[in-house]
Amino acid sequence: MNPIIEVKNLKKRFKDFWALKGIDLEIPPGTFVSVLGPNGAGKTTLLEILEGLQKPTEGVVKLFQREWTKENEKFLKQKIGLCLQETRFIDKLTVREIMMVFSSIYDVSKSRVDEVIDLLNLNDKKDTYTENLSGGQKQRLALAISILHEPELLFLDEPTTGLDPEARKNIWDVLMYFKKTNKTIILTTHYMEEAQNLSDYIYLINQGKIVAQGTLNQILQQYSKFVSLVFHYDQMALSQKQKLHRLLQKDQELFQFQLFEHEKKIKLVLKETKQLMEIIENWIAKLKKLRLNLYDLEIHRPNLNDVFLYLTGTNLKQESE
Amino acid sequence: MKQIQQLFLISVREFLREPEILFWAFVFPISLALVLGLAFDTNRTTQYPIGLSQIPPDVIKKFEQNPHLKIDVLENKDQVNAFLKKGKIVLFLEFRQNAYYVYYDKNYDNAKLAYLEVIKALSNSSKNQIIEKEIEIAGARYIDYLIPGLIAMGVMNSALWGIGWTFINMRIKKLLKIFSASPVNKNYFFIAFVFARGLLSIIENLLLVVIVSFFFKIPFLGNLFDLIFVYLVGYLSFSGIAIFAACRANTTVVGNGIINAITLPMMVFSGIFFSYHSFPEVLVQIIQYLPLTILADLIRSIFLEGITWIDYIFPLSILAFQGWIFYLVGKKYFLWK
Repeated sequence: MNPIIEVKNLKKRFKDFWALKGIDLEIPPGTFVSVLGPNGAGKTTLLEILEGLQKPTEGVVKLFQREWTKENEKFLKQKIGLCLQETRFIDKLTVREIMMVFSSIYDVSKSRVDEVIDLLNLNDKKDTYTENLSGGQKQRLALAISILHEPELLFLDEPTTGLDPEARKNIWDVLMYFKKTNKTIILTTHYMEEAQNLSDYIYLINQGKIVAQGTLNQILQQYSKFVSLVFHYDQMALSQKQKLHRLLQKDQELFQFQLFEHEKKIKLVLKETKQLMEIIENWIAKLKKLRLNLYDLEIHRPNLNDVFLYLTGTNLKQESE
Repeated sequence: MKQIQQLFLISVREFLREPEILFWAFVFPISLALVLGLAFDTNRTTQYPIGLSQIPPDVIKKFEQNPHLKIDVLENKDQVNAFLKKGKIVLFLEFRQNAYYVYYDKNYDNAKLAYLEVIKALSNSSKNQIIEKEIEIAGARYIDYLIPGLIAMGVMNSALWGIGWTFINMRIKKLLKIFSASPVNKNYFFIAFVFARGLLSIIENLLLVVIVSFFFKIPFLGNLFDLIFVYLVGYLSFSGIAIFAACRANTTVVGNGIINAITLPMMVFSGIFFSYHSFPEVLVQIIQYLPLTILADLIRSIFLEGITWIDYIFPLSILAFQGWIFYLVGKKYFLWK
């Protein structure tokens, strides 16, 4: 089966900054793909190039075996649906009026508009001005517009960023529904849980490069020898923090680390379990010496966040967020 | 003190780091001031165009020697009427029955100044009686000249601010992006906004025409269909210019600057408030092809002279062509993000 998206050696430069440094993708139809990475990783640039909103500096991008040329533009725009990172609407238009505008652009019936309003649970808001919608409702409206014409390929750029947990959960329910319809969906996110729960295939992206890819199991399997240690403490003064940083940096050949100050925990991601006991004992001693009051220690298999931390030295997003 | 210093620096840095803003805040106002300054330079002699009929040759010579007067010797009454209505002359002087008859609008400053120059010239060269006369020709008053020009200016402003500014504002608020991602027909997108704003503009200007015609008794010698047709073509042409004006601007300062850069010079030079025939001939040759000049002249001629399509089709085509070119360029370079 021909891939629905084919990207070869995609590069994008803004002045002297390379946002994408050579991306290759091959996405078969009917797949739910997540592009997972921290802010500034190049996710939105990648998506906007796929959506035809930006032009690549180098490389080949094909959707439905067609490149983004003037001749193919109408065909491709009719085939894809997109939900932008931050969709803004004309303030003094109601939800239904906005939907009617796009129904005219995509040439879909009024009954389809009502069906989608219903599907996205916007029925009680259909006569509300968009300026009076909450963040979650606006995002649902953006999703409603993106699926109005039943596109075969759907691009969702961080649809849950900035939403409260309940609103995020509502969007996830909608995305789960989309997934069941067997459409190809490309989702960018910096939420590990979102990628883990929704996707069939994951690309981990950092600084314009893909650092890992595969199904969730494939990625975790590939790094199954990794182990995460999480030390929980109750208080840490600034001087302790500075000393701790120095100590952690000294041992960087053994592990990658991340300090979660807000959650009062120190995470170490080890590449292998060989020296596990030795490292634990060693670090308990070091932390005691720093007069840090430790009250808990977790040891677990790595999740996507840990893999990402190990591969890039940076965190995707604080897990509790 | 440190706070003031830092807060001051924020503003200065933000300003200096936006080259476009720098242009519209410094270069544009200074350039405009220079252009207008040159046009209205006090060292340049202001010339008042006047019409003469049956004036003895020695007196004509006197007028010709006066640097403040620009003379047209007119053959007949029709020519006098046409020149007055078009603003080509602000005063008409006729010699008959051993007296000079001076016709001018006392409410029009330029006409009053021309009158003073005429009196000065006549008192040096002739002892005949001078009789002041109000202009009684329908459509030759200053208000008759002004109102059609204001209608034309209204068309320009409706388009430039109503359409151009709307697009700039949509870009600033990031409302265009969602449309650019959809298969929206870009011509339809522009046409929809042009028509919507055009409808409001028609109502706005229709009210203006009715009210001023009623209050100031502006004569309407033309055909209403001709006026509507010229109005619509004018509006569409200015819509093209508006799309061009709005095609790249993505900040308020730049948007404001561009629209003002287009509208202000035309408001000054296109003969809305005073006749552009007072400007040097070289400048007049350029001014007469400005879109607002063409539209104002056509609306004025329909109102005051009752011209028909044969008379206006050529200048109107030039206006339409200008609008079309601006539309094509604006559409091509329109920034959707």
